[in-house]
Amino acid sequence: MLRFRNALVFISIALVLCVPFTSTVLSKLGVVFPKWTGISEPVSYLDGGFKHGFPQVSAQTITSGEFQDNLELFLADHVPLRDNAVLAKSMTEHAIIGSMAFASSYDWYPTYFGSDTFYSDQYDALAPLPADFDPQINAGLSAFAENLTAYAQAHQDVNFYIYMVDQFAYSEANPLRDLEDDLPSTREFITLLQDGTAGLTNVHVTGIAYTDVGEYLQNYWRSDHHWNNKGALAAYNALALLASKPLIEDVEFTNLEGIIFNGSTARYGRYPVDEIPFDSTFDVSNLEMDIYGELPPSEQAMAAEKSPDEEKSTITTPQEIREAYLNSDHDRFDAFYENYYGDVIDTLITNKAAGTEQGEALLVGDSYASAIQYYIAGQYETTYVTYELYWESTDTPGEEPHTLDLHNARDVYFVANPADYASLLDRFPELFR
Amino acid sequence: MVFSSSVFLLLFMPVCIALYYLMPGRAAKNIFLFLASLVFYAWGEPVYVVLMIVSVFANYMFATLLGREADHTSDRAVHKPTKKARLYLILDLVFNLGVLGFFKYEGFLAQNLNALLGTELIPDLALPLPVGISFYTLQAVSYVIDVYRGEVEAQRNPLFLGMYIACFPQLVAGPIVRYSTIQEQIVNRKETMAGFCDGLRLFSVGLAKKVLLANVVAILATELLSMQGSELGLIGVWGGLLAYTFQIYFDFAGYSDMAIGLGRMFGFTYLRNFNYPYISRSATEFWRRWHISLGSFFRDYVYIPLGGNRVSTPRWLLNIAIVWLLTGIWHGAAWTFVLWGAYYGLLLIAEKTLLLKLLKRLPAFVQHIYALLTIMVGWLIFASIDIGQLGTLFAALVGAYGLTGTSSFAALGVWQYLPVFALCACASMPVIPWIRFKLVAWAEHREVKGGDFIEHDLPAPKMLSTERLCIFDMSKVSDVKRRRVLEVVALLADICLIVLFMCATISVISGSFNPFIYFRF
Repeated sequence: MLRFRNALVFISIALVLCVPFTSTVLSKLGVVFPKWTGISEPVSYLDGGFKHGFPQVSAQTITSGEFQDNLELFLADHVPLRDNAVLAKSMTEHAIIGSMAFASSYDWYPTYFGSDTFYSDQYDALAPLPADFDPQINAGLSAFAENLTAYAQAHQDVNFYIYMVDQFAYSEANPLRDLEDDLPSTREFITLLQDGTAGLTNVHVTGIAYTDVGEYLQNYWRSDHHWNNKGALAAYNALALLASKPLIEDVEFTNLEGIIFNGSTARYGRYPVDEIPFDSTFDVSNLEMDIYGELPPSEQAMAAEKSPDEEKSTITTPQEIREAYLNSDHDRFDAFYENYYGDVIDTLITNKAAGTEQGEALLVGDSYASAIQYYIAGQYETTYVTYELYWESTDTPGEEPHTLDLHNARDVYFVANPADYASLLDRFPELFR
Repeated sequence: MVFSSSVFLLLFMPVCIALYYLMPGRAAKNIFLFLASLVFYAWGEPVYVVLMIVSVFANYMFATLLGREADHTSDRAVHKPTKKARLYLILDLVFNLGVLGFFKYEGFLAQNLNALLGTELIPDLALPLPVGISFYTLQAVSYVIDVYRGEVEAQRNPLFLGMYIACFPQLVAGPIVRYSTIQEQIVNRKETMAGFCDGLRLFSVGLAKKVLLANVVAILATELLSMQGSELGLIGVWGGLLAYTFQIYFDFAGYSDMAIGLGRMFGFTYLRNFNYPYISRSATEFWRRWHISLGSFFRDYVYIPLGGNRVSTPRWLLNIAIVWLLTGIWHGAAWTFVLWGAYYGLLLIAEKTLLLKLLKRLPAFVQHIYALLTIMVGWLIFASIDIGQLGTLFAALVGAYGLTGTSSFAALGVWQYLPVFALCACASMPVIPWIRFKLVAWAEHREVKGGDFIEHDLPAPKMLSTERLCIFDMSKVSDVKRRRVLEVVALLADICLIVLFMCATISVISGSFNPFIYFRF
């Protein structure tokens, strides 16, 4: 019996220790493992990105410790069933904390020990811890207001509409604000921009600052930091009021059956809430998109097939982008928001049903803009969408600094979250030149 | 490299073990282990590995010179070191303690001296501390002193000595293995499948302690004990302190278990380093159960050479004070560690002179509460960032800032960890050995008296052997049916261990919070 037990212990532990390395080597040698093992998958949906590659070996990377750190990440990433195992761990911790939250009557509690993401049984939703006061955000917003003021004064014939997205980390609807004092809020940021651009008739600052968590979760995904179609539409209507454009009220929302969605908050919090996404019935059939930048991954193959000779420009439609996503394979943690709405960089949207009198618009945004762009584009003949506000976008060293190209737009929309506004001029110092 | 990392678990450990067993003969195995240990060390310290090699060869040289001078006899009374031997010993101590002092205390000395004199007398070089230097230096010192004393023979093969000093299982955080413990094993150890599997079991237990318990409570301890007492209040500071109390135990004891387990896999048998310290009834008992290898080092190489307790009372008290100040400063170059050492020095003097007699008259549970409180206060000093923060934490500890300070009960987060605390409390006590002892006694039709367990099984402080850890000793069980029951229980225990190992590995690959307190010592 002792021999049997020893053999059991030895074989079991040896398997746990040796399988990850062996399977990785075999995978690199071309052996294809079943998809469910995750071994041959180049991406980790749970981490929302590509797995770490084998680190570069050199004297410099070894002495600096970079090789060692990256090998640690490489090995951890390539363990079979790694995402499932990590999820199981956090779910176990979540259950332990949940039992104590139940006993303490706390509705919102961390998704795992040390997590900055909290879950609510009542709302079946996730919330991040509120962001602490950061003087850089206020300074960045003041700089934005100052530069925009000068730019707007120089372009009196152009109207500027600034929408401040109510991100959960800054929202007064965040139920976790009770845990801390002196937190910044979206409302304060809106006021800061309004005060910074006061007196200008062609600059209009707005934003819906929610105060009720239930209402907030009607307009933002329960597992993601982005707004959903209802939230984007509410934002459009707020802008439309200022821009004297027609309100969009006669749309319905339908579930995208067969798709389960867990956004960035779920990935970061290691806790799936399995949302069924929905879309509005707003008619986008007249919109055509000329994309100069990067296509969402689900549509890249289709675009290559469609215009093989063109390296950059790709003609597509919102419907094609959506269908490409709906017809592709899905993981519960894949990037629904980015792929479904199309996280493109530079796009010219043409409204075939509009006349020239409807003019041109420019939409400068971050990722929030992708869900609102079709509502705006539906009101103009042409709409340029640029993503300078997206946090990853920045001037390229050695190249001409980026400046705002108004084209012929008379209406310019800015749609972004507070942090992206605040960092804009750090990333594009010459934008308002 | 630390044991609780993907690189160690999924690459270094399996490859190292496989290659070790492929090596032909004892010498090749020893040399391989030395080289593997250098790779292990160089992984995190590519530059300081040179220091390690220099240390090995310097100690080899001094020990060889000492060996030539010594006349080896087991009778220490007969052994008379020569003047030359004394000189070699002093030179070796100057080298070892000089290196340790330079890397560990230069900055501390410079900061305090410069502040005292108001001038930049000594530059603060801000040197990064070579990992494990405090442990391998003491190990090397113990070896050379033992050679000087004639208790062991000098190792003739520098690579074998290198393997002893740098052996990766105990390199980073001990236990401080005496040369006399493994002298024979260096050339005569025997690796067996049973020993290997016992090592795996012990390693799994240690990994689970470190990753599944220490790392979890460390999240709370790190967060709360980085705050000021006014932010924490009574609940916050006690919650943080309890978390730290468990963290430091499972962190360090887990690492020791892993080290001892790894040693077993390579055929070595090390001594225990922890023996359920939190079941102690006094601070004196605690230090017989906590970091045993360090306590015995200071006892044998500092306290007893100073005269121990066979001197006048004032001198005896001075000896205790010296040992504890050294123990404190060994743990780190900061005033909080000096204060921590002084705290234990005073506490142990008080216990030895008066308190222990009083304590023995009290009920056992009162003694346990006394011991736990004194230990936890000690950890508060140990964990504090500086003396200023320590003051506010102490104030919070006695309720000066109310129940939750400026925070809310929900925000402190202590409530989340209550089930983990309960688990840690169980794991801090010899519950499993007790169950095992009872089962074996039942199977042997042996009547168990109240004191038997403490006297004969694991928690007995004198039993430092690690051979019986994780083993069901069924050798005296003659009842076939009951033996079967024991075998099934043992099988279930092994399955639990495998599951624990898998859970710990998952935790490691998930990139969870993975601090290691003793890494900086």
